[in-house]
Amino acid sequence: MRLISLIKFEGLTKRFKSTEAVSELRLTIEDKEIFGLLGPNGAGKTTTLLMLCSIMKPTKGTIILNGINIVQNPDEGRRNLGIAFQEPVLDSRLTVEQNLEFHAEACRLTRTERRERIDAILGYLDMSNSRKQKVGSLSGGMKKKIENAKIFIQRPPIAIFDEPTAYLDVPSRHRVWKEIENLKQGGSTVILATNMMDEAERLANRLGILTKGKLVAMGTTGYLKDSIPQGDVIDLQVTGDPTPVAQIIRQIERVREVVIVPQTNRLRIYLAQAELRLPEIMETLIGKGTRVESIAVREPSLDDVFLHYAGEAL
Amino acid sequence: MIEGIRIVLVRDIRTYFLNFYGIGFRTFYLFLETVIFAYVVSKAVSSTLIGGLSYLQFFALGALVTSIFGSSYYVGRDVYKDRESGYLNYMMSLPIRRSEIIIARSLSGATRAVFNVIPLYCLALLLVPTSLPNAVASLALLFTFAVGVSGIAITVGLSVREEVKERLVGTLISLVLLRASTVMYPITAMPGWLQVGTKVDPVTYVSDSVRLLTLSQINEAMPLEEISAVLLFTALAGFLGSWLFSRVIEGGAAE
Repeated sequence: MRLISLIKFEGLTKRFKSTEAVSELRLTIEDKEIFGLLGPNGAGKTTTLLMLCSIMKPTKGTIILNGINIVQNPDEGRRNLGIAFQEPVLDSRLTVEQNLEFHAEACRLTRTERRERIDAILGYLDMSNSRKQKVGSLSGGMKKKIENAKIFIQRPPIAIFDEPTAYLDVPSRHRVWKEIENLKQGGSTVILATNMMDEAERLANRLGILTKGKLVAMGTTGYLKDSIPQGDVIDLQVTGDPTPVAQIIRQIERVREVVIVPQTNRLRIYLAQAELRLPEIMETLIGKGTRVESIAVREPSLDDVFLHYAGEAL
Repeated sequence: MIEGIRIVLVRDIRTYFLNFYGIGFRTFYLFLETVIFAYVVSKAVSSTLIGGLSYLQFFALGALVTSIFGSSYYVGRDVYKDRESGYLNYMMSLPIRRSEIIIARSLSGATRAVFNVIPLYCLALLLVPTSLPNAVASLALLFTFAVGVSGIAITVGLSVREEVKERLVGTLISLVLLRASTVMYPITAMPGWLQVGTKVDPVTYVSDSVRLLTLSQINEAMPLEEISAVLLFTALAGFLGSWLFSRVIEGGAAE
């Protein structure tokens, strides 16, 4: 009988000296879903995953897997989990095949299973010719593919991917996505920590957004899009510091929210009936001496959801 | 339980032997030290000082301990690198028990060291012939000692945060333990202050045990006092390494 991989985080907290990396996380991940964990760098995604894998002990709280507290019984958790790390963790002295063999053997796959699955995944990821190559000589993208391949070979009940397509070219990204979907089809529950909105939108059934260690939003993509101020989005690029421009726009009637895209001179304005409000916005900005470089009107995306919830933390 | 230990052990031994030049050089160095340095010194040192052995024979048996010490200590370097690179975290995410990882790493340190000492052991047997049971007993004792050294090395590998410091601590430990022991020179030739340290140094006990075992006849009594001291050292060092390893890998210090 197949394991039902229901995971519950109950008040999970991890404190490092004075910093609270994860704070009172309460979350349930359903069986056989792909759950996307979004959040800016340092939001606590990786720390959460490390606690789930029993690599790190929580300061407070528990993680329940199928009714078993895996903080108290870490071996039970590890038997059901597999994690592909954000930074590939491979032995550079060993070949691609030897690294995969080690992982598969550690996960107690039989010799036949190991051979079949390694052959299949290396072929699929277009890496058959590299199987005898030492990992130390591979590019970052190839290492990342091997990191993911470990979990594709293992096929654990709970598969965890931390930024699975970082460093990958476009064809490889699609192959990895397809294989993650195959894992789900095969009955695995997938937890996907990512910063890539297209990846989250394509793969995840539900999403959770973490900022500063706190879960600030959770739901399906549609639900999250509906949860931010309704209407349209105006993308506006200005010359110079966008902060005073944002303050001016916030004063305009019916503008619901203005978010500055971090590290840029771009603004996102959330409002209803953007086409009707646009002349007034432009008039106000020109009147205040603001120089607009570009402007575009569109419907809200997951990127907007992310900025809405994580914007302050960026 | 056994399966997890076997998997980690095989990986550790495999990766160790990939470092062929490093291992080969270390063995070659001690080989040359024995056949040149010890040979020359033996011409100048009276054998009455060292219990009837020539210095060449004395040194050849001591070099086994030096080799075992250096090779088994290398596992600490591996643990340090694994921690820094995140490989330790990876191993902890695998369905292998923590205790299996700890035991496997200590055993791999000792196994690698015994593999490494074999060429030197052949040289020592040529210089100081002994019976097969005594040779096996010596190797078993060296293996036991290597488990203890691995424990110390793992402790250092997990406690020190910077590579330079890790190397420095390793050098200091080997300097103190090897130089304040009977591995290279007899206790009778040492100044009084050094003898005090030598008498509590586990390396002294393992060096003396190996010499006594190699020279003794089959029907002679085993050097139980020395062997007990080696066992005690291994138990303490192994416990310390395991305790710290389990503390760190259970998330206490991992960040």
